[in-house]
Amino acid sequence: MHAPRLLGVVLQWLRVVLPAAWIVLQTHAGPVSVSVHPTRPSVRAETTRQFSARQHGACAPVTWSVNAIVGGSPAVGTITETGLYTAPSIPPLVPVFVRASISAPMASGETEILWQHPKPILNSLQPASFNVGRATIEILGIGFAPNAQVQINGTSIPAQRVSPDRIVVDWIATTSGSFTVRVANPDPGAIVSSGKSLRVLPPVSAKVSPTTRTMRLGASKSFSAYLANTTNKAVSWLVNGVPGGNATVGTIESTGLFTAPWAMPGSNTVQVTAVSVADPRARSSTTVTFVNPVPELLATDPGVLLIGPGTWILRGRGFVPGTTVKLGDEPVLASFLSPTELGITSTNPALPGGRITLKARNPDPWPASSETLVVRVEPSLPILTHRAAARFLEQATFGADPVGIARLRQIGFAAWLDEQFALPRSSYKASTSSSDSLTRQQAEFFVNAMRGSDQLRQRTAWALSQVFVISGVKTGQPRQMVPYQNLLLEDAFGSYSKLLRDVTLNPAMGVFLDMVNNDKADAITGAVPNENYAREVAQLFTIGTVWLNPDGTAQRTPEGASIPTYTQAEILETARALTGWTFPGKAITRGHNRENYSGPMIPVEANHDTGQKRILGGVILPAGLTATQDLDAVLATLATHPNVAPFISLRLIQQFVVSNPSTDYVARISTVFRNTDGNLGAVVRAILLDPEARAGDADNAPLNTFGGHLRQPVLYLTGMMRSLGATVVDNNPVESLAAEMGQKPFYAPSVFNYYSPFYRLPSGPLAPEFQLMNSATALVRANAVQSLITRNLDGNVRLRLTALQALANFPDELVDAVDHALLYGRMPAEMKAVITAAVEATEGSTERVRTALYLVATSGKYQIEH
Amino acid sequence: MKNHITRRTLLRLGLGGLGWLGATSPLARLGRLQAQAVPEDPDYKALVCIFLFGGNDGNNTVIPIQTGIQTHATYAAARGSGITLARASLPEIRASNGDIYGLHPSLAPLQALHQQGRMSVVANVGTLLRPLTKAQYDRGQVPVPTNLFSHSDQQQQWQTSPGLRTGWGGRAADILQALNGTASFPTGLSTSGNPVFLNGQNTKPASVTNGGLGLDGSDGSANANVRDAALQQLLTFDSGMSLIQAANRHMTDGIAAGKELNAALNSGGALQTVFPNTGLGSQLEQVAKVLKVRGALGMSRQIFFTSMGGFDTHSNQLPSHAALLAELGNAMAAFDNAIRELGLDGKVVTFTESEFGRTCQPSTGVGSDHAWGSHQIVMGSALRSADVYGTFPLLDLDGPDDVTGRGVWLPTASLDQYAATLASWFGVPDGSLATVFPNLPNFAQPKLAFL
Repeated sequence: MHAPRLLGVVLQWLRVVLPAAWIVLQTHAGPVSVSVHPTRPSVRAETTRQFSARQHGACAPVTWSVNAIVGGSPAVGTITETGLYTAPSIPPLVPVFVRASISAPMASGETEILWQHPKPILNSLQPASFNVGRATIEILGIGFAPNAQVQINGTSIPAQRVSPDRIVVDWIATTSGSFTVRVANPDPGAIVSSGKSLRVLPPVSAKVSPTTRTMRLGASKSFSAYLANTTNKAVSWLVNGVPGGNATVGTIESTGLFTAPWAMPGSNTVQVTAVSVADPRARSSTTVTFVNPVPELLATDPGVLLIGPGTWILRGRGFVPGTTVKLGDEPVLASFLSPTELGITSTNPALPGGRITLKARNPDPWPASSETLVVRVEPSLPILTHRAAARFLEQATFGADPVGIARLRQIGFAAWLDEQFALPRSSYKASTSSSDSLTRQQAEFFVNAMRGSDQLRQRTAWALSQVFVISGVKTGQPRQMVPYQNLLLEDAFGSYSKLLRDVTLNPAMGVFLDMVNNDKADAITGAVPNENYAREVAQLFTIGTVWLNPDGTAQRTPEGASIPTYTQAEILETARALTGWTFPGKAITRGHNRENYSGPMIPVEANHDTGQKRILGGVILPAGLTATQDLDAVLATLATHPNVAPFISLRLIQQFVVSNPSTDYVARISTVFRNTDGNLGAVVRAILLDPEARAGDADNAPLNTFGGHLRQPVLYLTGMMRSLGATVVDNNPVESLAAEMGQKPFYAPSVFNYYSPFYRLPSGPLAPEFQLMNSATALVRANAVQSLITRNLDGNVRLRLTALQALANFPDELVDAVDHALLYGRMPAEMKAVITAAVEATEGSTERVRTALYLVATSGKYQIEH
Repeated sequence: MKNHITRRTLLRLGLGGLGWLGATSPLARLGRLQAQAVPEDPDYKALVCIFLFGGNDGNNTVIPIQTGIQTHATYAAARGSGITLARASLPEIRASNGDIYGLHPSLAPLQALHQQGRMSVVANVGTLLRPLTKAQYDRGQVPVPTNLFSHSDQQQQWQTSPGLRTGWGGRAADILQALNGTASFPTGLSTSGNPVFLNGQNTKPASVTNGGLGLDGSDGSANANVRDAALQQLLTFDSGMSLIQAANRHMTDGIAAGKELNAALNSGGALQTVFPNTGLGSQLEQVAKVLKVRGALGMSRQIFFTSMGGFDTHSNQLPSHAALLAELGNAMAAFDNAIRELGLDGKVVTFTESEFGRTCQPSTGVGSDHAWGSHQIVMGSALRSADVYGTFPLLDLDGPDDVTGRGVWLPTASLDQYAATLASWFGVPDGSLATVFPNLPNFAQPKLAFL
């Protein structure tokens, strides 16, 4: 039985047993009595009730008390002077009586109060909702009686009443839905609260998006997890069950960003799983299928590729069996070693710029190419630096081509020279044409200059052709020019004396300087021997006009005047000594042979002046000598003149190396000239190996203020083309570019060549080639560069810019490559900065290459070979 | 070198020697040109040199027919059979003293100009350090210029005056450049490479040849602008090497001057005068075009250098020399027309130079050899009168004027006197003539009479 009910029974009993006392008390009072109304009311805890006192026979002030305590007490309830009673919050331990008393006359009345539990009120449920299953629910409110019961959907649930305002229940919800929770207080005054809604949610669920995914190895992609029936959205991620994954299966961050491994795991799929933090039972997985990665290239091993065939390792990641590799444009043999290593077997080319690009490509599934890797290519075991080799070749050939540089770096100067001296000569195809056109020969000249392997011989012949000049202006027929140029090629490394004799007796030279059919004085016509050859052979081919010191400087009188080497009278006499020569052909005793250029001129003694002559240098040729004897004497006189060594040495030094050689340099070469009896091969070797020629080879070589020489037009063109690995077609018109710059091959304006060896800059230094340089030709030179690099000279030059174009997205590398190709790494930093910025600002890969090439090739730094 | 100039139509401009030191920036020059406000100077004067490279044979350029000292027969005797011009073929001109000379038949176009008082001959001019006689020459008592018979030396000396490194045209420009005020365009202009003739101490010449006027590929596109700006920037770097600096200067000047002259020429309008389509014709046409825009360029004084090559007629001379002089005569006549068209009558004097004459005695091969004194042609209505000025040599081998026996004439007028006469007309004050021509004081009469 409940406690309140027991209390009610006790009180009921008391009312039965004790009525006499009431009656006695009231009766005893006589006519005066007091009664309290209402009688025996029920009052809920902490509620109030208004009492009133009825007086019979009196009308006195009433004093209210509870259980004899005026005004009551918290334990039994309180009452105001007006009779307003407030029930205590907890059940009173004794019966409670409210009494109204008057004092005059003394009387009182009372009634018992029946205390009841309050009505419980629910304020909140915590949680108000939860997922199906067991839950501890905290019920907050007020008026919960100690034995209060909890009802969920009318069913009482065991509950722990913690306090009048808190009850905790532990409940297992088996179904989802909406439930009503009530609290019931027991007797006395049993009462049920109004309901509060409790929501039971279905279980938490998780779903990962996307549900399947195919992705590249090495790539990163984000996954999302969607959780239902929970407000706690936190998930943890697993890859193949491993929290956060690992390098083998891929890793995943808390954000869901999954990074695939670079190598294929055992299977080509993995599971990516999201697990609800709120409810670990809630989880969802997705299958990731891996496909080939985009390969990444890091480096080659060794880091610099060696020119020629070889094997090496390409390092990177994302390689797969079947990864292919291109070196430049060419596929190379690549074997899969691991996802980070490929073994490469290739033949590495020598390229302009010394750099090559690498690209790897993975096959299906999902084929993909790597970014470009730029690698340097160098010869193996070089004994010369790139700069040293390139400078040397610039001086010794028609240009420093990448293949030639690589080879020279391996064999060195001396071996290279030996090789060159031994090579068979390229020569012009024989021609009997008497048409006034050397177009074919000009094209042939550039073909040989670009492709011929006997570069040193050709270059030497080209130099000699600018000393021993004939010109198409007067001798412009192939039958004239071809044998002459072949003569220079043949004699290029031989003795100077032989060259002088061959040149002198060459019929084209005979025509050009009027020695052919130059007969003794003719009394009938009044004509006397032509002085032309006699003068120019002295002035231009042998000794010059003034006496020289062995170092090439002019000898001076004490008064400072130069000293002439010959007089006009000696020229006249020398002309007489050189009479009597005609075209080759039948030996004749009088008259002239008809034009024929197939061999040396032959003498016709009847046409020879046999008188005594006092020739150059005052040498007396006695009367009666033959044409040959006189000629031999003249040539011997010239060839043995002390001027010849410095005279020829200076001109060749200027052609090969520098406009302003030191006097010591000239003196050293003069010595070689004399010591070798004018062996031109030895002279050329000495010129090229001289310390002054090689001084610029060192990486930190000091700048020579007056150093270098302007690239003559022909060498400007061939040098640029060879450095860039270009080729020319057989019938090329390259000569037209050279001609516009003032050097039409085989057409020097006169026997004085295209320029004078004595031409000086106004500031002082010798600068022969500058005679062709003015601001008009400066623009022409720039425009020739433009023609070459943009139009390949209208298609007649094959200038493949592919290797450089591959660098277009790497402006620094591109400019370095052009520097390497044209300036051998000597580009000053400020120049590099300007050109790199210009390249970066240029749109288009081809245009970028052209911009870089144009700016370097037109720069003074390039135009002056130094 | 064969001349392919005529297949081009545009002008190309360049600078010889040092380039020139413009006082103003290229932009400022351009701005001045666009203003087009510079009036033509009424006192404008120009000298035009035609240099005949190789040594023109004066003996067959001006031939005595009937003069006080000789006749055509004298000439024919000295020349021999191979290279003598027939008397009947010679267009005659008459000197003020009544002497009759013939011009080479190819110079017939100049005969009319002589009759109009617009052309004269200056006889027997050559390089000299001081006056001398044949006897002095024979004995070596009086110094003569070095290497008298060498092309290279004598070409140099005719352009510089013996012993000097700068050109007499350039030195005259040094004296007179102030007359050009603030004009940045150089006083000296060459249509033929880098002649030392125009190199002064302070003034630097420009040169024009036919062809493009600017940089190919400078098409105003973004890429081209990037390239050209970088090019300009690179040109400002000092490499510390003389030759590199010189190359950069030529390029710098070429770009700037190309823009300037191009702008001026575009403002000039077409010439009416038709020039012969020859090397010299094209060069003189270019000179005429520049003369036409002298106002736009802001010029008061200009010196031009043009040239022909091929005069080294050692052999087979008659046909080649005839062709050369035809080119010369026709081009000069056309140029005279252009002078009149441009209203420059009296303001332009055109003159020839050549490194030496040729032996009067023929050489084997039907030609002639290097000699010394020779005749020059001057043209322009500023001439005092049409005449044959100076002292014509007696064409006698081993005669009083022949220093070698082959008909090598001892000059009777020096290059310095010839040049000083031209420079004086051009405006060089008498007091400055010795500065421009240091050898001039050696001669009693500093100036010749033709101007």
